[in-house]
Amino acid sequence: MPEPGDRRDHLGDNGLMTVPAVPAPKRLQLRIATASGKVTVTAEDRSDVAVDRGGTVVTLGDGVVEVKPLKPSATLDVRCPTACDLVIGTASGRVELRGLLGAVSVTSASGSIRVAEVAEADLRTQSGWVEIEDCRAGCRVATKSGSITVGAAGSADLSTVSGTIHIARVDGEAVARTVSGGMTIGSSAAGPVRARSISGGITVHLPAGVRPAVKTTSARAVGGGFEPGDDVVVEVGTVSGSVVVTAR
Amino acid sequence: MPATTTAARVVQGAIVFTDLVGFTEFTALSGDEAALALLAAQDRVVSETLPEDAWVVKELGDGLLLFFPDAVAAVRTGLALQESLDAESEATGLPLWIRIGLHAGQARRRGTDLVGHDVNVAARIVDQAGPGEVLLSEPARAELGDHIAGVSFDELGPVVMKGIPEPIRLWRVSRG
Repeated sequence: MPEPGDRRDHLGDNGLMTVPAVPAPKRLQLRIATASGKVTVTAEDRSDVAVDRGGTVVTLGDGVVEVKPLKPSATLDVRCPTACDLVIGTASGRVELRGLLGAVSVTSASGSIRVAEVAEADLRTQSGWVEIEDCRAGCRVATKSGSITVGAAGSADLSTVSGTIHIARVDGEAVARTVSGGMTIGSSAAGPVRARSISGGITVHLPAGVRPAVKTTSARAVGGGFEPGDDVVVEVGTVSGSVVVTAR
Repeated sequence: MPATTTAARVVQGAIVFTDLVGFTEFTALSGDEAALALLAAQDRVVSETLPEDAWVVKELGDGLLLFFPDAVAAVRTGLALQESLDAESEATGLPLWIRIGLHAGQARRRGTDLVGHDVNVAARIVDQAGPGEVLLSEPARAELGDHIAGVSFDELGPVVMKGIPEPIRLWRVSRG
């Protein structure tokens, strides 16, 4: 029989650990620092923070709640209120964020990061990849070798050394830099596009009929198909990569 | 002048690492002469921007180790460096993309070099930065207090860094 306080008394039928839920303050920031375990945070219609597996909840005050892993490699499953702000630091564990979150910051050395829906995001990992389905305001992502994929963003500031960048649709300003990785930017032409690379190819897709003002420092001619104009500024610069701009 | 304990050869201040992103690739594509021109452009901007009481501790290939007497000077210089290099990059087309990591603490002098845990922390911080960014640690942020105006800070969170036992809270500083 488990003794009082023994963690075994929190084991559910599925063998996973649960801890008592902590009521969430009105404005919530959830903070997690862990070494190598996978971190999954699910935002849902609830008013508290709960840990289904791998950690305990500590209320720090001023609307800040911290989840502490039970061990450095613990797999963490956390549930929090919709639109909760989130700060995560990890060395190598993968981070998966589900549901609609608020302002999100994730920093990892080698872990990959997958984000469903956020108000704004600052994500960085050196060798992991980053995927964002929908970032309503600004998203900033930096990787070293990992690829960056964004479904939709209000604005974007993305950089990688050897990874690739793909943005399906950005509604505001888009800034992207790679050293050797290629990039594809789909812009709604509501904001300028600024793309730089050293050897990576640059492709910018604009809506049909948009007439961009294309400025380039590339030695090679800009390919693709568009009628020049002043609807939106597209600045592209590369040392040796190809440049393609389309508006068809 | 930075506070210095002569006997222990300890200096207290802000330790800054810079890294020129894409330098190896640029050199491979554009050649050694172009690489030298890129470094010369960086050197010129750094020498124009560095305050008198700060110094270049050493060059690290395409990067630099800088020391400042305090974090306020280091942050001001870091932001000024980014702006100047950005303008130079726009004007010349050279990929002067640097990232900057900054930490406040102490270091021991070893000849002209600096060594110590806080130097190692600063070196790890720059690894987290993207091109154009200035990142700083919580101790550096705390040292700034309200002594610097016209800047904003965005928290990156508790960051786990290789070889550093505890996560360190990092911030990105920018104008505005």
